[in-house]
This record gives sequence, C-alpha cells and structure tokens, in this order.
Amino acid sequence: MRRHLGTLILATLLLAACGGEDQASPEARSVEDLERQGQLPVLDRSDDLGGPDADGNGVRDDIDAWIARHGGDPARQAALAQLARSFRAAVLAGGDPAAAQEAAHRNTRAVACVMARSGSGTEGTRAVAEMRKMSANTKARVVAYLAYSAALDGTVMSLPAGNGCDD
Amino acid sequence: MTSVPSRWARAALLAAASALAPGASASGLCPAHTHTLAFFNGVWNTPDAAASGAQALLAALDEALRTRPGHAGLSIGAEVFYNASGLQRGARDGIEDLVEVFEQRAAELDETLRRRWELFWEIIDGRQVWWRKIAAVLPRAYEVASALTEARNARLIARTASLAAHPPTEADYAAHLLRLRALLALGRSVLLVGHSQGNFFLNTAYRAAPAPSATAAVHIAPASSRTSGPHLLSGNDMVIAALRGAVPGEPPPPNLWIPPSTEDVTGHMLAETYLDADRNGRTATGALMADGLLGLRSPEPRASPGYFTATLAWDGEGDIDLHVVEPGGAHVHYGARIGASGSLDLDNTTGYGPEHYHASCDPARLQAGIYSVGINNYAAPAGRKATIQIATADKGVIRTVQVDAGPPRGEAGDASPLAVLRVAVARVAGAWTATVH
Repeated sequence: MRRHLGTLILATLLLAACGGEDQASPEARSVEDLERQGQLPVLDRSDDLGGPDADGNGVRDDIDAWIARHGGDPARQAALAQLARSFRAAVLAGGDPAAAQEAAHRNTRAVACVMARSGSGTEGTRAVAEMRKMSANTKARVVAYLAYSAALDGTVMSLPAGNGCDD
Repeated sequence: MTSVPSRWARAALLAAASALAPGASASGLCPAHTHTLAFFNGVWNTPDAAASGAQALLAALDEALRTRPGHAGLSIGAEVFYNASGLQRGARDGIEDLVEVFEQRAAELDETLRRRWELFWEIIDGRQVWWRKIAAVLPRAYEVASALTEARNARLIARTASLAAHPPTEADYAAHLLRLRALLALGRSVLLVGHSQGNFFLNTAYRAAPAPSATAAVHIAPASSRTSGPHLLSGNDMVIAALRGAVPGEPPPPNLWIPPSTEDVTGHMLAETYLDADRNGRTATGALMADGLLGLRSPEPRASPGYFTATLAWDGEGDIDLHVVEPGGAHVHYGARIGASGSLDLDNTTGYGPEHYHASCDPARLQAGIYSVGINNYAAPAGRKATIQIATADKGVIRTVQVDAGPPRGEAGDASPLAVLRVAVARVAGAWTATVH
C-alpha cells in the first residue's frame, strides 16, 4: 500500500516538473508577480462569506473581473457568472438543509450550463472546479461550503432538462 | 363490517381504479422520461463535482446510444444519488482535519499561502494547477503539496477501508432507496452507475431495489469488491491499485488499458480519464452504459407522474397511510382517493410501502395553495419510522423527512393525520413553483 501511495505522490511531483504553460514566466519571482501577470487570480479574502458585490449582480466582484478576463465568449461568461452566483448561494446556505437544497438546485443547473458551453467534459469539469476554488477561497468559506455539502448527504439531485442556462 | 374488511374492500376498488391513472403519458407540466441514469459519486466529492460527473456520464451515454438501434423514443433523465461521505463535520478520516493540516503546512511555507484556500481544493481534487505555478517561484511548495497529498490519500484509503468493512445501509440512505422505488413505480427503468467508492452506495441501493429486470448496475473504477453488474477498470488506475491489500476484499480485476495522460496521472478520475474524449475509456464506458440501459425492461407503471408527488415508505410490516389535504379542502387518502387537484395512486396495507400521491400535471386542474402532507399509523406497531419524500417535475426530489409514525390509531386517526410537511404550490407570471415548508 505504501508503495502505491508513494507512486501517487510521485506522479503529482512529476506532473509538477512538467514544462509548458503552467510554468511561471521568467520574470515572475514571487506569488505577487504571478498575480500581476494574471497567472493567478487576485481574489477577495474578506471575512464576509459572500464577499463584495458592488454592482449587485450576485457575483463577487473579483470573480466578475476574472470571468471578464478569462471567461471566453459572452455565452460562456454568462454560464460562468450563473455558476458563480450558485456557488455564492451555496456558501451562504451553509448547513441549513432547506437553503442547501435550493442552492444545490441552482448549482446543478449552473453546472449543466457550463458543461454545455465547454469544449469537452474535461474542460467543463475543470471550469466548475475552478469556480468552486475561487468561490470558497477562505477558511470560513471552505467550512461553509463543506457544511452545505454535508447537508446534502443522502439527497437526490436531478440534472435539468435542457442546458440549465438561465439566459 | 369491521374496519379491517372495509379497508380491504376499498383496497380492491383502489387496485381497479388505479389502472386508469398509472403510467399515463406525462403532459403539461411534467416531463415524460422513460429511463433514469442514477449516478453514485465517490467519497469527498462535493455536490458540484458529483453533478459535473453525472453530466459527463449522460453525454457519454447519449453518444453511445446514438450508434445503437432501439434508442429512438428513449427519454433519459439523470439524477445524482449523492453521498457526502467524508465531508461531514466530525467524520472519521474526514476532510475536517485536512483543513487543519492545510492551515498548518501552508503557513510553514509562507504566511500568505495560509490564506489561499483555493489551494486546499486543488489538493482535494487532485488537480494542482495553481500549486505548480507557485512552486515555480517557491520551490518548497512541492514539499508542502506532496505532504498534503499524502495526508489526503491516507484518509481516502482509510475511508474506503471503513466503507468496505461497514457498507452504507438502507437506513442510512433511505432517501436514495425511496427515490428508486418511486421511479420504478412510475414505470421508469433505472441504470445505476457508480464511480470509485460510490459503488458501495450503488450496491446498497441496487440490492434493495424491488424490480430486478428494470434496474441495471454499471461500475466504473470500483473500489468495492462486490459488484452488482459489469465493471470497467483501467490497468492504469493507480488509486484502485493502491487499495489492493489496503481494504477488506479485492476490487475486481482491470479489464481495460487506458493510456496514461498528464490530464490525470492517477488514471482514476471520471471525466479526465474514463470519459476523456481522446482516449478509449469513453467509448468503453458509453458502451457499457448503453448496453445496460437497452437491456432493461420497463416496469409496469403503478403510479403517475405529477407536478409534485409525495411518496411514503416505512421500515416494517403493518399499515401506515399517506394523507394529503389539498388547498380546496379535499382530503385525499385510501378512503377518498381522488381529490380536486390530484390523487392517491398507490396504497399499501401490508408493510414497507410505498404509497404515492400525485398532484396533476394539467395546469387547468392543478390548484395553487398549500397541500398538507401527513400520515396516519393505521395498523403498524408503534415505533415504525416513516419516510416521506416530495419531488417536483422540474427539480426532482426537494425534500425527504423521516418521522416516528406514532402508535396505531386505525380509522380514528383518519380524520386527524399527523401533519409532516406542507407543500406550497404557486403560479406567478405563468410559471408554477412548489416549495416545502
């Protein structure tokens, strides 16, 4: 078992050693450089679970900016914004079963929308995971999202008919 | 005539009358699915990860079906039969203490990394895109990431061993089983698909399913030694290989070789490996699912779809009744099956259920307002646990609750059933909604 565990870890490190687009540019010397270059997102880490949303569109402002920069065509950006809204609702729902169920419905629809507007299942899956990473990006938000997930244990979530997109 | 024979007579009438309604083609507000793909996710999967996995499976199934005769006329819905195993607060070998490990180890490396909880998710998901970028400027990040990955892997293996030794029970996941029974009662065939440890939960549901010819199981990368149907396991799947000898029982043998890829070096991920469009796993997975689904026989429908439905089951022999009081005051139960807005189309007088009420799919008949859903323990021993599940046509299951059915009350309890849930049906700007209170 330890041999296989070690192999799993080694595989991760080997992946880390691979070249290509994931390497920092020669000019980057710090994490802050990576942010300035746009290789890492600049994210809100305030204490507020929902985070700032100055325009009131339901999407945290930093994620709005990320979508505008990296989200692709307008239809895909709309899908990612729908997904961001649903993750925000999930974080705010926390462990309340009724709120979690409603948030899960929105999230399932939004996941379907992003998957429908992605080039492949892999691309869509990764886009969904990336939005979760950015949405639940403080300890408080992680704990809230885990409470939301736990509240859904044993439930049944239906995939939407159609593409799930709100627009 | 005593109350019990009177009730049996009504049951006979019910059986005759119910032939009019069940399996009626869905119309109006209700989709007309013929089959359901039920996905069982692996442990430590968040709901969004499970949903994207199910979506990817549905796409692969759809592709495979298009190449086969007999697919015309199929209408397939998909549902995630979700387990949050390992994500619950206080769960042994759970994610909770990895939260603390992350906080400590990331702070040792760089105080600013301790605040970057997006990196926590990368460890959980096994996709370390941003870790790699950071490691290019902070080489010690490799060491921290590998330590966190080792901690994650150890907990996942321990959790898998725990599931193998103590599989989930029907009682633990009563909502899954009740939904499965409701789908079968509606005349839908069900294809159960599990990934990784999700197959433990699949096995529990499959073995309790009442219609063997209408359900089929497909196991993808199974962590469980027991299977309920054919499986697919890549010889490159390093996660399942790591489980051999580490958990009770042996996972089944590999039967496919999916070439390795940097997209997923573990060779275990559902979307990145088994459903990757550029490798052979996708067609193999699609074929297994399509063959399983096309081999199903539709069960005889015994219940009708509804804009919302209420399904009741209980945990033993005896008779417990479902009661629904509609907004207009109609009290629907075994003695008065047909209301103004819906009807009781399944009655069970012997044990376990199910009983089923559907509110009409016809917007001209469906009433807006409050539906009071309750139960009466007619003739079951005290101590029975009753499970009621509310599902809607557009959202699927929206609530499942379990209550103590109380002492048996016979006919005397019919006038005052135990109220359990209220379903609020509303129509706003032409759109119908149903919420549970």
